[in-house]
Amino acid sequence: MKRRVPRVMVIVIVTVALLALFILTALPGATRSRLGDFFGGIFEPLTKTFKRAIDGIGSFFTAVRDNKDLRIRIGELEDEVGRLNREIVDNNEKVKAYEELKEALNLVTKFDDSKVLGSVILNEALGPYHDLMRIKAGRKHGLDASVTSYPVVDRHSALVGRVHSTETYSSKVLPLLHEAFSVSARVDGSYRSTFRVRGDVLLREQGLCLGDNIPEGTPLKVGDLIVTSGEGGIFPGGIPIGEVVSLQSSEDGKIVTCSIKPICDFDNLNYVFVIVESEHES
Amino acid sequence: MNLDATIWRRIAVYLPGLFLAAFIQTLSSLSRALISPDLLFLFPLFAGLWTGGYDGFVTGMVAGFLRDYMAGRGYGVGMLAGMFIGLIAGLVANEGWQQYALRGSILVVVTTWLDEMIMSFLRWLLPMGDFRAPLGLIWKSALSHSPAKLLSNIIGAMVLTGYLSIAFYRRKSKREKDDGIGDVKGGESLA
Repeated sequence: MKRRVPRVMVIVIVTVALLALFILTALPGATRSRLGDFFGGIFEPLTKTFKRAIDGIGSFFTAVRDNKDLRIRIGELEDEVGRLNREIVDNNEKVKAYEELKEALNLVTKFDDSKVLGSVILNEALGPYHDLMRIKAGRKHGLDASVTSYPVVDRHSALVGRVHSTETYSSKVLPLLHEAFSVSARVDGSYRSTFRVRGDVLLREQGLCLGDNIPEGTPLKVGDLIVTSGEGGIFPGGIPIGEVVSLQSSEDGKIVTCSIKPICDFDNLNYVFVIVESEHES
Repeated sequence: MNLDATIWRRIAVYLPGLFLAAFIQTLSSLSRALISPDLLFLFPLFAGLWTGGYDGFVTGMVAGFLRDYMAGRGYGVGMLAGMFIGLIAGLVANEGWQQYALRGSILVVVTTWLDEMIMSFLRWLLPMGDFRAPLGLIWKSALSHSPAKLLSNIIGAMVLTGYLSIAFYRRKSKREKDDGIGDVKGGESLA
């Protein structure tokens, strides 16, 4: 016996409703967050239970060498490492800025008022259009992407991406390799000639991102460490992005673009840190 | 295939199945593996094939919503895609393992490829930032992923078939055993 198929009218009505939903949630500052908030409240306990169940099974099989207390401690230590790494980068940046430039260039280097929020990655990208990561830190934890975006770094303080949207319990993160991601950057140790680093569709396949808009005379060579410049208002200066792996020049020998290998190991990324309440000084 | 399953049984199979599929898909070790089937994409397809009717249509919308919620740029696209996949599967659903295998394999191959291309087109049509990558490059990238994705989805299809065949397992009655009704192949008439 074959069951009755859906009526054409039902299909048409549902399609129109979903298209309306799509248009509404695609508009900037639209109802996307409310919908996510509502279902986030339902999914949150489910996710928690599932994660707990997975953790429980994992703990059972690794009970001898990795007990639960140790894992909690590791989580705390990872928080601590992230905070300390952030402080090291911060302090290094301050020293450099003081010694080399004597505060003449007014670069954004200070994270005095920044708070680092550790968060676990709930899921990664699922496909070409579903290409954002979800992390377990949302408005309940003090994030609000409708006001400003936040830089996301890994435990070595290397750039991971930025917060795209926030919901009550979780947020979506736009990763560094995504073609919509861009950040102002410079060569580490050099305070002039900033350029843009962004994701690229083809380079993403190789786990690389692209450096472009490179001003003439920028001292750039293979192996250079690229860090954020501090311009743009979202990312503080000095966050490591990646290492230059190749340079592409124009016919007249001018460097046009470069390929950058991110320092962040996206294949082994389980935990990230969101930098919040950063007060930029210019 | 079990086109006669009651609504409660279908709910009892599909609802936990969908959430399980979603949770499995969130496991980072699986999503980074070479073989990482898109279970939320496959679920409505097999729900439609297995029980027909509105099942694929509804599970498609739920699975699509979960996809949109987890990693989407907004809501609606994943739901629409899931709904149509489930709808098509429900339309072609038929009795018999042979028909199921044939139609299922064709659907997995065609819809995996189509989904990849359409979602890539939307990625180009609705860029998130100021920069719009050329459509050719996006499709080239999608095509380069297709073989691995297809292989993953074929494996995922087998896993889902296993899940559904266990969940919808039904003992044959004595009469069915005696008459061999349960062994009727798709397309054949009981008469």
